[in-house]
Amino acid sequence: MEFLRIENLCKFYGKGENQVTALDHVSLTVTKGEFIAIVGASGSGKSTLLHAIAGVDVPSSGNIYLNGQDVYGQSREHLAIFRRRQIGMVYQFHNLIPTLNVVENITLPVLMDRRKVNQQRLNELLALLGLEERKYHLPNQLSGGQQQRVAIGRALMNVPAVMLADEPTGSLDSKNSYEIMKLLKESHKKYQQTLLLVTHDESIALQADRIITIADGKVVRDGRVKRP
Amino acid sequence: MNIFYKIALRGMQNSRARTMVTIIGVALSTALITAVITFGVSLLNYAAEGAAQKYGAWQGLFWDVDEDFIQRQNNNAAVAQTIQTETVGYAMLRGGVNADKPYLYITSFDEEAFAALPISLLSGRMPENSNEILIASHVAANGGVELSVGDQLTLGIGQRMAGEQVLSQQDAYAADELLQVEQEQTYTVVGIYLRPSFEAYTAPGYTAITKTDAATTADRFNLFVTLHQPWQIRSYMADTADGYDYSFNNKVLRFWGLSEDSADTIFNTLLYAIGGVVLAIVVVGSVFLIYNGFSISLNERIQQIGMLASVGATAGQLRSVVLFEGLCIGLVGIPIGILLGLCGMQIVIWAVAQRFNAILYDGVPLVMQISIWSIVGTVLLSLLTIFISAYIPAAKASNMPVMACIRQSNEAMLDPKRMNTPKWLYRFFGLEGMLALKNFRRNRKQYGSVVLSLVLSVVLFVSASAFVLDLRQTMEQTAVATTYDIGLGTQDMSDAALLNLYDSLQQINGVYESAYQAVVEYRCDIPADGFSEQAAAMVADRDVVGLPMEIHFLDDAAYQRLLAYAGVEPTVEDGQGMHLFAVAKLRADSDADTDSYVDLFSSGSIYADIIPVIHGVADEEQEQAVSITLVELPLPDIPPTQKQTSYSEQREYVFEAVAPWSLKAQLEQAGYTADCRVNGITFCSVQPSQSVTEIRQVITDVGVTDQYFLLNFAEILEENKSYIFIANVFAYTFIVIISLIAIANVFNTISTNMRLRRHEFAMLRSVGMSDRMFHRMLCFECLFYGMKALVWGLPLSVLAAWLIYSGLFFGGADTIQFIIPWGSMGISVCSVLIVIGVTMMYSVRKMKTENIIDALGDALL
Ligand SMILES: Nc1ncnc2c1ncn2[C@@H]1O[C@H](COP(=O)(O)OP(=O)(O)O)[C@@H](O)[C@H]1O
Ligand SMILES: [Mg+2]
Repeated sequence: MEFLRIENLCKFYGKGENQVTALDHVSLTVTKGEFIAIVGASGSGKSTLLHAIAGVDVPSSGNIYLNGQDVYGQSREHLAIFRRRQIGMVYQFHNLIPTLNVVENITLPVLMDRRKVNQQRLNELLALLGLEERKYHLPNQLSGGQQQRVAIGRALMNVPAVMLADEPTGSLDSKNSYEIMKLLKESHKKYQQTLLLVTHDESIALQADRIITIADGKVVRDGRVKRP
Repeated sequence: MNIFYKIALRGMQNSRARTMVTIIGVALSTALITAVITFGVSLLNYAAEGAAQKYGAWQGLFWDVDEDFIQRQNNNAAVAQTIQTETVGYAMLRGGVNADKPYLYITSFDEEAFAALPISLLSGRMPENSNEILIASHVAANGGVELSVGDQLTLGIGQRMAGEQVLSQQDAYAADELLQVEQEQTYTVVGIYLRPSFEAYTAPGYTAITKTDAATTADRFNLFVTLHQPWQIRSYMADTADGYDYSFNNKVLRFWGLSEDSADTIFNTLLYAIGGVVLAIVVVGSVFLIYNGFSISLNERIQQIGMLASVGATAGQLRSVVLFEGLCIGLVGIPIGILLGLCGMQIVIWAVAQRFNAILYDGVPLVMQISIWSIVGTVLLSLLTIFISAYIPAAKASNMPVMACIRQSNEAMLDPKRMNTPKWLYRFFGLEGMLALKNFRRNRKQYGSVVLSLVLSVVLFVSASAFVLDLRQTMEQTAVATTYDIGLGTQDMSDAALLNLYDSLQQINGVYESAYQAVVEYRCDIPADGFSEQAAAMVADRDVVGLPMEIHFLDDAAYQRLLAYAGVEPTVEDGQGMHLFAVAKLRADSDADTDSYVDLFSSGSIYADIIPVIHGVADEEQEQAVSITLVELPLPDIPPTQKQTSYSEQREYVFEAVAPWSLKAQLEQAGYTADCRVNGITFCSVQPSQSVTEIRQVITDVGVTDQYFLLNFAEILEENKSYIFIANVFAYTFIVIISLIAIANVFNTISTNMRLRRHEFAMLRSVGMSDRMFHRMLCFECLFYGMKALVWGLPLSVLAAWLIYSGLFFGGADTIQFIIPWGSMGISVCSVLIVIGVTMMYSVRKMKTENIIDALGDALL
């Protein structure tokens, strides 16, 4: 069943001679519940693709449909709600609000909806992320890895239909990476979430159902992972 | 170029927004100081020139000096100009009632003196030879001697002697002095003029001015001195007086703060106090603005310094980098500021010059006066502030480990405890309210300046408006109000000639209302039973009481206006002959301080006989029966007459009737002419001084031969009015400038802060914050800042208003009431919220629509 469809997606930066093509007519379809690893050299356009799907970077041309809905065809208000409810994105950098503590940062999408926080889910996440002792700390009191885990917690909290992770383990040691991956995968299985993950780590890529390779903004390979 | 200077220049180029904010701060504050000083100097200069036009440009006056002395003065390099007038001498004023002022003081002006010493002619013309003389109007008003144009005066003229000593106008009258008459002289009075400003109130003689010609032989002179440097006048006069008496032209000197006249003490205090306070506030505000421009980018600057230090820059090198940066900013910002200030002031002056000329001195242009010294001072002050402000980050950085400098960021200083917000805040105001409060707490330090500038401007705005209100109250209570601005009064002019003149005066510029009227004397015979109980004493045993009364005949339009104003229905013809409206009141208690009146008659209307007074005698043959309706209406002010002392005040009752002009002809059908107290024309004008000049011209052209008085009441009231006007202009300019400083400060701080939060806003949007939530968050923030500013500002401003009120109250204005300045407080509340709100919305106008990932961009790379 087709869940996410990307058609002829292009993204250019700059103008004239300095123009950089970050995405060059990318087309993809993803079914619900799929786990896709995106690999490629640095600067090939992986992050740009993820940002476009997350609804934070307006593409130069082309369309993205999620559940049949044109992502950039909706009003700004609806796009914001779409980001809040449908997408959980872990950025390559630490995208935390400096004035909010760990708990507030994790529950941010729920708070925005003015819904009641599911305390059980929150505690479960905090335990899984190893942040129980740090509940009321501000981001500037946390290490890089801890900040990354808070960002992942935020992406998971709302149980979004689509999870996007841009090198979530890039700055973590192997033990930390393993735990994070386990967390993402478990959530993906348990809630039938679609997971798109950018990684440089081959062993992580191999855990996916499908690997997409990007070079110079184009999809150069798209293959299923055969499991023994 | 030194590598560090290159780095500094590069740094400024790279963070263009930061550099611009700082330059704008410097330029604005320099502009404000320049503008305020220039405006003040220009205003004072204008006032001084206006006063000089009115009272003469001289600064000091030596009395009764000899030729040698004049020669010495003329040879003195400090003296710019001297004017001499001759002292003819003193003569007794026959019939004078003021015991302290028993003389006429006769002085003789030549052409030059007439040109340099303005004379305000009320009637007649200037003297043309040494047999003609001008008499000051207070000879009648104060001395009780009525002289008119055409009168001949034969005077025994001489010197006042106290023993061997000759006395001058500066020596007050003493009982043991002697008038030594030396010559006899006959003068023709050719004009009446207003008391000259050089005659002190204590002077023993009323100044009379004749014209110097070949026959004049005086050996004593009054010497009017103008120095090149006005501020030297006091010491100059004291040093060179040589025992002669001297006085000062305080009406002009006051504007340089040089008057020591006791009447000017308040003026001086106000001048210095207001000037000082205004300057202090503007300077503090500006210093603050510059400092703020630097400090909002403190972290960036510290980071830059840390970077340089990490590659081995010494403290001295770092200092030179920041000072160099400050110098660059000053070099750009200060000239722009001075230009901006001067241009802005020029525009303001162009805008208000017209009004100044109309209200204050016609013929003196209000021009911009640039004070070089104040500009030099402004430049130095700005540079100093820039250096100190630029140096602070360097000083801070030198106490920090290099790594801490580089890592320097807003977040590093966050205290988690301060970031705990109450639960109810989220419950009631949602995430937006919670985030707003957290931001408000985080940015406390930076926003301190926003709150402070807003508090300052709210307090100043409210107290300045309170001050203006208090002033207006004082003035309204003390003002001698007339119903007209210019009055032309005569006594002998025939009705036909008056109406003729009235027609000729229809085209005067600035006049928006004119009217003619005559006040005619009658006797009114009233049956005794018409009087009220309180007036029983006046009736005594008589059956009919004859009361002297006046009838004001007004031109029909003015009559209708008056009745309409008082809400009185016009006359109803009842077949009983003539009908009049009258005010008839009896002074209730002559001992009481305040005048309270009761009705003179028992009923609302009476029937009586009126008898015209002809040549001082009531002519009973002309008796006429009238019905009189008694009404309450404000009696119109009468045209000016020499008998200014109000006749009605000498009576224990007021009994005056008003009637339309047409009735006058009807009454006088029999061909008599009743005695006229005064008749004349009154004008309301928007430019009284110009109108008077034109009216005088018309009078000359028409060739009026009767004795007349042309009085510019507006001018007499002008002094008060012009102080209020200047105070108003200054207060409002001041308010505008303070608001500008505040707005600049608020704008600089908030827009920089918003710029620094661009990344954070993008983060919030990336996790799904909608535009509406974003707006709500900013509105809450705006409310927090506004509240904080108002919570401090409003109580403080009420306090300030009260202090001003008490100051005025104890300063003598003890009849005014304290009014809580609700109006200006309301305006403050709205403006504060609007300024913050607009600035926030303006600063984020682009951030709302920009691509989220572009805003997050810096962190990506
Ligand atoms: N804001 C930007 N301005 C200009 N070029 C950009 C910007 N963001 C990304 N790029 C360019 O787009 C290309 C793709 O970038 P990105 O998607 O971040 O690569 P990846 O994540 O695969 O390393 C790169 O060549 C990068 O230089
Ligand atoms: Mg990337």
